Amino acid sequence: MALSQLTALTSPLEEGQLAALDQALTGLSTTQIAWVSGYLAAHSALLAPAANSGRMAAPSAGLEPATEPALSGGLKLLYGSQTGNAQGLAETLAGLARARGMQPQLVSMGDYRARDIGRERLLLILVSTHGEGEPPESALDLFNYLHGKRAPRLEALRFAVLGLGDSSYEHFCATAKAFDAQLRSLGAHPLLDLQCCDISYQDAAADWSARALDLADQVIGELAGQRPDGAPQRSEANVIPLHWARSFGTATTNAAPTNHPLVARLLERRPLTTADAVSDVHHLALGIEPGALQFAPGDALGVWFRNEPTLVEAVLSATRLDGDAAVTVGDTEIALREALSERLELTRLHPTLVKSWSGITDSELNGSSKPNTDSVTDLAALCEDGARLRQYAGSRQVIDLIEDHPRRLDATTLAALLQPLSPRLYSIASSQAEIDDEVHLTVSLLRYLVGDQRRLGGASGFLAQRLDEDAVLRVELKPNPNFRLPSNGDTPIVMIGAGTGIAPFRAFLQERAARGDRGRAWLVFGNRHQRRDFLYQLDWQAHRQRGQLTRVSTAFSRDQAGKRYVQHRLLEQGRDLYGWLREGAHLYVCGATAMGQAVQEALRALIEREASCDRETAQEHLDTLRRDGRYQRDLY
Amino acid sequence: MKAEVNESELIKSRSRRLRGTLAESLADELTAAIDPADTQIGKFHGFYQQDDRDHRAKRRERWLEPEYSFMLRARLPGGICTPAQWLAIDRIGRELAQGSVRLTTRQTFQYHGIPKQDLRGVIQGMHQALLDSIGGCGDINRNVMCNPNPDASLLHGEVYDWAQRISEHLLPQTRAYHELWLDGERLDGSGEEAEPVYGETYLPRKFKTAIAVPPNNDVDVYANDLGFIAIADPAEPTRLLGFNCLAGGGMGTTHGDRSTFPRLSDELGFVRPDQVLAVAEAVVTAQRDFGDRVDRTHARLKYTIERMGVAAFRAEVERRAGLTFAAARPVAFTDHGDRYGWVQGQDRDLDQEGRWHLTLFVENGRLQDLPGRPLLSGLRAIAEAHQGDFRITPNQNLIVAGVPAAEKGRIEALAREHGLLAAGHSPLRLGAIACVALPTCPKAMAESERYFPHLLTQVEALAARHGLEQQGMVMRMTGCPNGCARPFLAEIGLVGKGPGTYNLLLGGNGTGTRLNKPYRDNIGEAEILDTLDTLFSRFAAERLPAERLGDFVIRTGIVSPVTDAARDFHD
Repeated sequence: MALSQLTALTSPLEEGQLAALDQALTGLSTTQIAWVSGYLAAHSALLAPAANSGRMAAPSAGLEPATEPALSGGLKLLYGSQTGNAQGLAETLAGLARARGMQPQLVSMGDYRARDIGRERLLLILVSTHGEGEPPESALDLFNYLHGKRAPRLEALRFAVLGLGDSSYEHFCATAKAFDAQLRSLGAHPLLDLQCCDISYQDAAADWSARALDLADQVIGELAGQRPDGAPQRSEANVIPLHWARSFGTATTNAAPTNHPLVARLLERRPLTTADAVSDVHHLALGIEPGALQFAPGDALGVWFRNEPTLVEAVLSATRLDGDAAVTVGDTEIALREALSERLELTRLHPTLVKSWSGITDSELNGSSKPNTDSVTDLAALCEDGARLRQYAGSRQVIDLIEDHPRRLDATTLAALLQPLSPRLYSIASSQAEIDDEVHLTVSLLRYLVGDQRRLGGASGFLAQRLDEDAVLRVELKPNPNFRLPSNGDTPIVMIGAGTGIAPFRAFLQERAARGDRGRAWLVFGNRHQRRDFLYQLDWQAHRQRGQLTRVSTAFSRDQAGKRYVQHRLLEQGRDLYGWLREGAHLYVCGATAMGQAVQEALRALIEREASCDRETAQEHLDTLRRDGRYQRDLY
Repeated sequence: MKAEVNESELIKSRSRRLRGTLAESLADELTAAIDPADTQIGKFHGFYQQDDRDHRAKRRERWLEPEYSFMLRARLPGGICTPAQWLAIDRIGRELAQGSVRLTTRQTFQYHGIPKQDLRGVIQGMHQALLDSIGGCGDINRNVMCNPNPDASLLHGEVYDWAQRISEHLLPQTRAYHELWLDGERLDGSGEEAEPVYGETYLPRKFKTAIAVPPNNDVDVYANDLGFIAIADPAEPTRLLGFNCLAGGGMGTTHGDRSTFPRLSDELGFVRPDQVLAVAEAVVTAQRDFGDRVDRTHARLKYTIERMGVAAFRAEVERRAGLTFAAARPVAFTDHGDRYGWVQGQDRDLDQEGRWHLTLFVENGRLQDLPGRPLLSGLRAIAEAHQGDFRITPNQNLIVAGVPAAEKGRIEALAREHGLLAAGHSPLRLGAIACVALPTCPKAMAESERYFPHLLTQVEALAARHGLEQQGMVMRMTGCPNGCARPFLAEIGLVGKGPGTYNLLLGGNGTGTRLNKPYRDNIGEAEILDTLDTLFSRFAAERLPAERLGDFVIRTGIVSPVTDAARDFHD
């Protein structure tokens, strides 16, 4: 079946040769095909040994252990994931491949040795993009390697790239685009055009997966024929186990929350900031069943939230729809009001919704009048201008779109237009080594005005305001294996966080205290005012009292005339920080993406200065730290 | 006898001449506070650690430490500064101390709400204006007071000079202040400087010095550890003969501890001006050596003298100073308040016309820009126009001193425009003082400064009801019994006991030469007003002509006079 889909474009054979091959193989059993493939592989090796070695930049065949074949001819699935979506897709893809009898190697880019890329023959890449077009942490090494001077030619490689992103950002799927373009420029052959997926990615991803596997299957067949040893490469599949894959494998945003029925209970909520603080940050203690939820410091918790009832009613009122009307969301039929409350996104307005909204005409409803002509024109113009559209969507909620541009539509249409509700991730601020039946979160309430209307963040409003004490909520674990304490408790750590980015460090210190670790710890914390928003100040003081926290540096941006941020503090204390690094310290950075970039720049600059080296060497030093797991980031 | 010295003595002793670990405390970014031991040392440098007590509970709930900040008090002998210095004081207050400057009851200024990281900026800013805060607080000689005496200008100049010289003479020798706040340079011998006057543990307790110029006792000279009363030549009133020297006064008491009491100082005798520094030093070193270093509540000089007896103490001072006191000269005081408005001095300028002095009214010494009353801005405007000097009074007011007649109109217009004139306020309010207390003072048990104006309004109404609206009455309030507003010398004293409650004392004589006496304990506003209502009613009906309230309550036996506080204050 695979052969019938081969073409002269995706194989080195002419049409006539393909037809002959197809005919020759017709009716053969699996065993016969396997024998033939071995025969052909041996034949190929005898005929053209020089051709193979000549094509490859990595000539160390024979010296490598059996698990590192010189030419990794099998299907490699590489994923670069930050929040787990790309990983979830990759795992699904691996499952589909196995169901087809393929034996894919599923590897996180973070665990992948970049220079092995030269040995790959068939590669499917799934990678997300963050913030201002940044690759996920785990993808950085491979990304930089491919874009560096030492990148090999990749004529032997066939590949396809799927990107995950959010089209409301300017650099939509920039990482995937860069991977795709760079692989092409290195001579690799695309199996498929780049697939860029927006936040609602399930359908596009499923379609791409099916097509990619079809094509991969063909390539595997072809490659089998080229193998010098004739053995099917599937036997060499080297699946790297993922210790936490079980809890996550099939999580997708289209799944109803009930697919992960972990239930937590709000035990306590307390404000952490003063009434006059710029931000409104709360500490939440959620009660959990320790047997059902096990997490490590560094992990995040996904929180399913309910939209604000007044917001739901406002949407119903603005659309003049009956909240009791039945709609289908996912596989279930529920009342529109319930769907708007628990299953559909109301607080994040995505540009695609604006576009869809722009396309609605009243012809979909019988007997209604046309929408206001100005509104139609305005919205159409807005959708034409990407930057304005992103700006519009980024500063509004669904209700604002509906109220600005009223349209008549039915309940089913509305439910279909709205994005499915997705859980929001919060870095966990506690350690189970200290309290095993609680999860602590640090939640900053998102508040803003649209015109004179007060708008609240969906999850933060739910957690910081609407959720009553003792009420239950649905949660799911989002492990973050790329943000982990050093296993050796004597290893010094430097924790750099701004705003709620300080949360995982509370978990870190609790964990270290509970384990009796004696390693030094340096906290670098930034926020706006020491007096108003020094989050968990008494905790840090207690940790220092007990000797768990060795050093504290702070940057409160508005406590003096010129703004000072954590990166400035790092530069000021560059000598000491470099000293810590030389003594083996692990660096952790948590907070907003922009802060992470500024910190990275400061780290590079201070290494350059302290090590008296050039910029590239300093960058390599940082890259080495990252590769060694000594420079870990959790940015959002 | 074997006794352990108190913790403060150990901290001072270990402090390497008042350095402690202040440098480390300032660098600690995890807290806005300083190390507890350093809070003791910081006082010698002029600052107290405080926190906003209104916010304590809410902050604890938020896992935030208390809202720490610092109060810093300057050393300003006699309360005099130049307009240029005032502009610096004003700028620092606006930029680094929450837009406020407070005039204190000891003729200096202090800032509140200074964040730890701004202490250095405040001190450096003051230094640039030739001001410092050494001994602003702490177990050391504090700011030396001196009657600002705008009318007796000729005598004032000479007396003020002595106030400055005493202040300089009793400064510590350590370079800690310069090291920590100014040049940062550590010279040889740092931490081991000789302290010939103080020794390595300084004094057992705070030490206060004042100079009065009769007939005004605005400095409350008898409430000081060390007092001097200027004696003019009766034949030539502008010539300074010398001083009556006093020792052993003090206000502070402890609630519920009858072994503590306010005390008026004793006369040691008369000295010539050239003997002043030797006497001052001898009194200080005698207190250094004989003062109680075990119990801080009995460590002030007044208890030392009670213990030793005045005669023995006088002999000790004479021995140390190498002199013999002459008999004290007779003196008479007429008041201890301020003279508001314009007063002409005796000094003559080139036109043979006396300079003019304008005393402004600053309620409770609090200077800030309020809606409709931009006090700080007003003083800034005056400082920019004024060529003379400024004098902070012991009653928390400010004198614009040395104004030529031609400038009077301009200065007065500025003062009026900014709400700084006394006109329109009752004699009661103009004679009243209050300490800072809540929310910042760590010692406060009750409100004072921010509540007192409100209470005064009600007492004014009471007084008016009894036809006493023009009656001068010295009324003072403090938030605790430490006595910063010298409440034990008031005709009506209110001393904070608990939230909303006060001890009411009666019987001061309006000149600061007689202590009052506890009359009611622990009463709230309703009972205070009720008690005063009854009192005013009797006073209005039964008073002798020109009799003051404080004298009336003694004459009629409402309270008995305090003549020997150690024995009769608490009776």
